[in-house]
Amino acid sequence: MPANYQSISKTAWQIRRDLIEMIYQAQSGHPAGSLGMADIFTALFIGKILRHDSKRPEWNKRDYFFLSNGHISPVFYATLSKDGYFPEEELKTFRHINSRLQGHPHFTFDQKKKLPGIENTSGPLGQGLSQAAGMAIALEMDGKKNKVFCMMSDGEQQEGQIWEAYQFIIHHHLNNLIGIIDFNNIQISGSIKETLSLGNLKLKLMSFGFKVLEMDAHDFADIFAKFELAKKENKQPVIIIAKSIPGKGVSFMEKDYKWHGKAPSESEYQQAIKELAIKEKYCG
Amino acid sequence: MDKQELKATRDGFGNAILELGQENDQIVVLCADLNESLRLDKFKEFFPNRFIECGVAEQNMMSVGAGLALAGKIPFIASFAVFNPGRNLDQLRVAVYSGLNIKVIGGHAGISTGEDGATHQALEDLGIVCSLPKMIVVVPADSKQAEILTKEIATQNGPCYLRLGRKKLESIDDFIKSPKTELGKAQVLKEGKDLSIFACGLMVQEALKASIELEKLGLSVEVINLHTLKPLDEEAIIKSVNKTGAAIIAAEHEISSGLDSLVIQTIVKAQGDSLNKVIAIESLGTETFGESGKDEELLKKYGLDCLGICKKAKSVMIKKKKLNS
Repeated sequence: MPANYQSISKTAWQIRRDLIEMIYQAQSGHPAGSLGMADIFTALFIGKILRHDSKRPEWNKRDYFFLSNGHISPVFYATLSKDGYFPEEELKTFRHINSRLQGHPHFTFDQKKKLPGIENTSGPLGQGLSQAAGMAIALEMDGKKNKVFCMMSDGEQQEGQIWEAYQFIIHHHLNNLIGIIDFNNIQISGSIKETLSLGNLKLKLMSFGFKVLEMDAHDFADIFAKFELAKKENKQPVIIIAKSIPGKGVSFMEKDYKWHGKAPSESEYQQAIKELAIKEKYCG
Repeated sequence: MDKQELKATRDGFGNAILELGQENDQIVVLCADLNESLRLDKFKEFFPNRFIECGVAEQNMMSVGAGLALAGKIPFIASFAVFNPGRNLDQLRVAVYSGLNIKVIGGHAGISTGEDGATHQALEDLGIVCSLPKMIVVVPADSKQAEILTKEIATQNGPCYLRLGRKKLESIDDFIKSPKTELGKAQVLKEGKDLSIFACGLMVQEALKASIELEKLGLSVEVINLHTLKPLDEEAIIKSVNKTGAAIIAAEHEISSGLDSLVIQTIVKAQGDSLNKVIAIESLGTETFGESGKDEELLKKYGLDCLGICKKAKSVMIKKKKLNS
């Protein structure tokens, strides 16, 4: 764990700027969830919560990171490139034709299209956790110690498949799996509560048999501490409910569901970049 | 055909998967509470650590299979075809998009599933899987062919679909000359010059029976087993219709997709190229949902039998005559 979080916090603000730039250039993409998860992605990859090496993306001792809510690809791509998985220059190609940076992440064996760091294809909500469970059960079968991390969204918990996967993970004792739910309370059409409420998610997951941790998605001390706890747990699979602010860091995007999947106009983009630059300068 | 022990294609699959399990420890089997129906009980008994019970949760099962494939395993993902790929198409599509090495096993396909009724009789599964890019699709015509094709798809590094049935069938082995059962290779089971019958699955046997009846009426019938729908042996199709000028396409499947549309597309696209004449075509398949009943009763009622083929032969020969007059 870093002694202080100034440096990592600075990187997270840079990643936010990068992803806003990407979405603005593409004039499409999902800013709210991406901004909300920037601190966690930075901590996972650049803060090395994940055992991984950007110079050896296929290292057989790595922890696997599966993204399930693939629409927050901007924060994933921006983090991977910041960590050296591929040139930052390539971020400009996001959502453009002939790019490795597809709107939603694409795992492929085709070396020309393969983006280093991407472990699974995602986008259609609800599938990533099952894919992660498949990887986790394969690792258990082979007696390997790698961990599998899976990032999901809160809206995604409405998918039936997610609950099939929870049952499967508990039944098969996949204690090498750590799920993270970005709990930002919004989805495309409005708040989670208005759209299809999830009830007491924590209690539901505990009743399934998970160890459930709650995390402040914008407090690095809490992020590192909770992941440390999760990684040490070997008797139960862990789900982390990460309470985040959608649109974090851009005043007019924060907590507004309308920014789930919308690109900023030129003036909005200028304003966002300005705000993020100030936050970067004075963070820590 | 002589009386012999009847076996369903699922039986051949069960034998093959057991052998594959012994040969290759990367092979894993996922099933959604149907191991007996899919003839997986022996695999489960011999390889408990590589048999993953998923419960009745087919969407999760498909994506878990995808995760196993990402880890380098060769997952055989098995359930009834109405659910697999019927219910979990989205999950399958994502896995195929990634080019994952998954083997999807759709059991109890077709109207011959019988008493369970229309909800359990997959008649659109071939249309679904054939619409996915680079998917290999096979439909064995008997138990032995199912055994061979199961082993063949295990050697392919990519997504494959194997369609299985519940009905016990006679062996077509005596009719197979050359080529032997080989992925992507059509089999001319009987040569003829007046009419080609292209069939897959249990319709192959009905086509063989029909050819005998039609010969009594003076028709020389060619019977072609298209056990591989993708990649389709287009050359064999064109070669046959260039000779006969008439085709019946027979599958235990909805006629708007699957074998029927694939063969017709092949013939139409060959016009102005390798096709040397106009071809009279008739389709034999389903256009409605099925219902409960015994397999034989259902096949008869829906015209998916020897008699159904003979009726189509009559109409296709009238068409052929008109085209040639």
